[in-house]
Amino acid sequence: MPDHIIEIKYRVAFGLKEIGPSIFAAAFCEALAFFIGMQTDIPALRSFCMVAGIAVIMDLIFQILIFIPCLILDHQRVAAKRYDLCCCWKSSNAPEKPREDIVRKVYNQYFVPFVFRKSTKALTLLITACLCIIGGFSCTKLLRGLNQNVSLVAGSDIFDYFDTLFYYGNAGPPGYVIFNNVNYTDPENLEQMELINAELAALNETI
Amino acid sequence: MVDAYKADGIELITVRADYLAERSIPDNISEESSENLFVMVISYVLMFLYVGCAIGHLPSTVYSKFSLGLSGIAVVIASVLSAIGITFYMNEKLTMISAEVVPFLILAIGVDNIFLISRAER
Repeated sequence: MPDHIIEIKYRVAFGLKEIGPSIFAAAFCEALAFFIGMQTDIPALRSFCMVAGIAVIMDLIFQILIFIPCLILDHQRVAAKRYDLCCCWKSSNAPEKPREDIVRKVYNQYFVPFVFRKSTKALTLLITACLCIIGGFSCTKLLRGLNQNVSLVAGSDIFDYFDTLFYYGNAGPPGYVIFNNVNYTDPENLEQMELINAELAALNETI
Repeated sequence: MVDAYKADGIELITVRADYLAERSIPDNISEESSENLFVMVISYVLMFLYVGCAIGHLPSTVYSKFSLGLSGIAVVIASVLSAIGITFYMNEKLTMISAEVVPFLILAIGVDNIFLISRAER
């Protein structure tokens, strides 16, 4: 950032010239990936990809249109020495320059030397290699499955119901036979239905 | 009642009943949403605190930037809401998966951009 640019809006504009393309490219690629994901045949996944892709685009638009003006407003607040979060009051005894940040200080004092130690580097490499090997091996033992319970609250009535059905009723969900437009007053119809019932019950044994 | 049976020396068999009613699924959906809402609020508040701590100079009343972090989180919330609204106009049904996963996803992506943009003018 060249020092001769003083006014805040030009400083932000200069900064955006640097990072704008990368932000746009990142959001574009994310949205594109989601929209390509919309080509799957699973309706739930398709709707998820659609919402997520649109949300990524809206996020980029709002960040350009809302967040950057907020950034400039925030700078004006700092320039006028107003308090953070309650900007109606001015601070009378604020220092000209901010003190050194506590987070950055701790970071520079303890974390950076720790990372650059030789033993830390070796340990990091070792942990990465171990995680890769463990992950690669456990890939082969992955169980595939999608039962109804994955989208339910654990411990609710319906979760218990499906759980019990899964473990005790090995036959799977119950079947239904539905009769349409039946005149129940006619005894012959009732007889027919009884017959169908009996035949289905007999089927149960062969299956 | 049970105690009376036990006093008479009658063995009771434990029976486990699981049930599925017609209103079970709507009940479950509302329970799930309320439970999820709590987690979502917590994660947004934590993310707000993290952003506020990370982009400002912390022990300061003027130079901390919690209000900027608040606007960044508001942008994320607005983008999620508008995305859901746009899909609603497109007659696409909102499923539980998208309603629950997208807020977290956009929170992660949006916070990433907040850091980049707020660094731009330094």
